[in-house]
Amino acid sequence: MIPYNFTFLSHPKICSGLKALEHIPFELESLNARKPLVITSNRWDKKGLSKTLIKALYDSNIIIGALFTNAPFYPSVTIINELSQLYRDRGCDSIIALGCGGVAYIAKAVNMVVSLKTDILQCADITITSPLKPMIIVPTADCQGGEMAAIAYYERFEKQSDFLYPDVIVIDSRITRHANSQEVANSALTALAHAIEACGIDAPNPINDAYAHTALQFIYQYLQRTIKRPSYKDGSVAIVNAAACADTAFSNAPQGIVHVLAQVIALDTNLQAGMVMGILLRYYLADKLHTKGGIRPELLLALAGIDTYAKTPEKERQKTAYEYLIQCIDTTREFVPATLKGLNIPRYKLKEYARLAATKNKQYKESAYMELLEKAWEGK
Amino acid sequence: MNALQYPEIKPKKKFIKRIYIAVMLWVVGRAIQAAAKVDKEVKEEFAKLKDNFLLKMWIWPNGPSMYVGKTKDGKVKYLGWKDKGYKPTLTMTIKSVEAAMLLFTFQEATAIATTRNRLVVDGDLPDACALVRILNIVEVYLLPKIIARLAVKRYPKWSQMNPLRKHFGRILVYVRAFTF
Repeated sequence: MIPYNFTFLSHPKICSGLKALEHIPFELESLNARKPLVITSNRWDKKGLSKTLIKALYDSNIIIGALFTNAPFYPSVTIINELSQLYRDRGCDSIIALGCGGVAYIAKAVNMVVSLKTDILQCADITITSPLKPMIIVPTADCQGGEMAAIAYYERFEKQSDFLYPDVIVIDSRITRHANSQEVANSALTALAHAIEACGIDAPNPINDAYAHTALQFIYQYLQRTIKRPSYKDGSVAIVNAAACADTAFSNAPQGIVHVLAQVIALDTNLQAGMVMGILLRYYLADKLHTKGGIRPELLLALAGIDTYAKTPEKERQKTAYEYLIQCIDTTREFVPATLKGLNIPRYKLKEYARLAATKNKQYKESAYMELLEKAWEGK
Repeated sequence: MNALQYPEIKPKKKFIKRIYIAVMLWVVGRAIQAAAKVDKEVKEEFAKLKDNFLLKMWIWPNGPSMYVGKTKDGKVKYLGWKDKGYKPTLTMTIKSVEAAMLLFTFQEATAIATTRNRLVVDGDLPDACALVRILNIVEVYLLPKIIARLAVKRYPKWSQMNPLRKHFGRILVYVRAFTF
């Protein structure tokens, strides 16, 4: 049956590979922008990434309105308002986010404030109906999920809109190779969870599946080597590409149980969402394998390639795909514990997390959230 | 927040790289003019192009650039690097100085640069394809095999360009390009 009932939107242009940073001036010009506000964190500035970015803008007509190098980890209202003021004072017309996590979330929130000409707290109630100011993301390999998706996180809010996609994603090994193994593991696990949940829905979306499968393929091929040596150029670019594809797939599918629970736990404990997703994903997959629908056998095709897929008998494809996925998760064993207990999360908190998750996403019952949390806590 | 801590930054220029590219454009422009007289294949490719054919190859956004066109009597001529009010029928824009460096230091072939989105073509696509074929032949003449293999999509086989034609043509292209 042809699954013809679907919608799909992927707005960003992805420029990836050798000298990808040098595409920025041309892309900005084609977006009718010439004065970007560059936002990055102190850590990346100290590692010389902002200098690399400035050098990539040499010999262009671009003027950097301001290079803000102190973006914090948490996208608070104060920093968003201050940066919005800086954007207006300097007469900027676009935003470049150099980094992932907090940097990208702040950049998206600032873009909403300056484009909608309102206060950040009021943005939560406004429906975005027109494109925002041009925005370019130059991701590092410490993705936390959602930076390249049609979603914005700020303070305790979460906003979804098709206009929240960045316009251009620039993936260059000069930028991606500076993260450490722990961050690469978190990025990969987040992308893995988003990709699996995006293609595990009841109503399949063939184009979304293509994105999710690409992400899975990149992770399976490059995760092991990149965790061992995070400065490995091709590997770090592949992991960030996987994150970009997974974010697009995630934007076009309903939020899954693993994502919702991980977000709730990460918000409460300040742990990396990727780490929590990695733990939950293991038990979610084990559960899913024993349900009626099971794991989609096409995942095996994406992970292992056509030869292994063709060699594996039809009945065993689900189980083999499951084994491949667990192998992927096991690669990060050194950095991510196998249970929630290992993260020092107290058992009495699980009920609260299940309740919060059920309030946030009513697609699943509180009991379903609780069941998964208990399995992940005990490691059963 | 002290806004003065985060000043406006005006990126600098890459003078040396631009000079290198300008020289390379001049050499390639002159070599195209010479090859159009020396090589039968290049001559045929130009004969198929429109009478008012004029190529502008330039580096976005501030140059350098190169103009090559057909004159009224059908000859191919390098018209220099200055825009004298020409109306190009085919514009090939290289997106950045770094992209041009990859191309002109022969780290990337023209076909690969196109697939990597480093070139923008404004004009007829058949003309652009013909020009890429001409550039490939010119590069084969200008460069030794070890470098030319990196610069072209497929280095011509013995049957396509025999050594006699290649070496004799190379001498003529060099003499014509650098003398008259």
